[in-house]
Amino acid sequence: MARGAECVVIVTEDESLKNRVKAILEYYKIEVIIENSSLKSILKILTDEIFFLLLDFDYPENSIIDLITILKLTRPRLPIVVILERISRDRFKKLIDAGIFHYLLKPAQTEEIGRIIEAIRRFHEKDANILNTKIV
Amino acid sequence: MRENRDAILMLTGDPQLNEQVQRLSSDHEQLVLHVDSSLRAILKIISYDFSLLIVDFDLANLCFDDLIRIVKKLDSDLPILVTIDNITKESLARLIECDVVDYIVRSAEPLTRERIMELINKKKLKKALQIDPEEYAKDMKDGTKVKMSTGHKGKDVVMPKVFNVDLQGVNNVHTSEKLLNGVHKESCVEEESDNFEKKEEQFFKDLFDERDFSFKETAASMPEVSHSY
Repeated sequence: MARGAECVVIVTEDESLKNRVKAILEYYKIEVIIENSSLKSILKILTDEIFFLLLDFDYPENSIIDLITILKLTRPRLPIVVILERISRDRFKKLIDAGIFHYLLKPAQTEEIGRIIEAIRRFHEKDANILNTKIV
Repeated sequence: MRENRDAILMLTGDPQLNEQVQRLSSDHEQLVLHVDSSLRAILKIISYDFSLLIVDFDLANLCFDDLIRIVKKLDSDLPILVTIDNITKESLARLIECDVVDYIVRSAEPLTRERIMELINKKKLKKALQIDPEEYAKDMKDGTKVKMSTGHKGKDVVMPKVFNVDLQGVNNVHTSEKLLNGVHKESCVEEESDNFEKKEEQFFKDLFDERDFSFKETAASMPEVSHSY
């Protein structure tokens, strides 16, 4: 990833979702990497600097919560956005407990993704400010 | 794991192998933990300090390479033992690519306790040999300053924390022999050698004074010896 460029990793096998989200993110001038396996996404996150991770909750692998837990343990400050068909109270609780940043309902709207991108930018700026603060 | 026992993580779908490893560690020297998915295995590796990972190549077939790479990134010292049904050129190439050197072909060789212990000890040895140079330098900088009363008189000796030496009572050198092995022993040797020389000198001085010993007398009193060839 080039310095300054923002890169998003999408973990999904849903072709329509892939194309739609990719188009929206490219509209916001964000580089997109699509991974078909959760292990590949972990490897990517361990090696590269990622702006945020977009996870398809309806992904065939039924261990999304495990994946989120691993990602939060390895990169605690990585924002994880989950996209799903429908949300229930239990699901919401599970996702919040696992440490997600935000969730989106399918099909994702351009403005909604835009708002999330802005929020994540502010989140990273805050982190950078904290790191640059000198303790006197 | 909390009791500092060695822990083995197993990602295998073979119940016989699971039983075998369980039996080999049945004397409770090692804890054995079974997982059924790669994600669970990664989660466990992040959470605990395992001494050995046993992976079934055929179970993790599709994601084997990624799994090994992730494990190596998370814990580079963790020994990995791959169990495989039949070795082929392809599988061997994949093992080499993933930098896996320890594998057993299940049909050809049995897993022995010695093999497990050898791998577990590998990690222990690696850990024992690891001294972080930065940490060492910091310890040398922040280490406790000790003023020596003998030997290195008037000198401040910095003891790095890495040696884990209890420095209480160091100034009282005679009671701190066990505490400050190296430096104290050295100083004691110097002290002892100084004393010995002084004592030796005094002994001969006393001996000469007492007997009024002189070389002339000694020579005069000696019988003449003639040599005839």
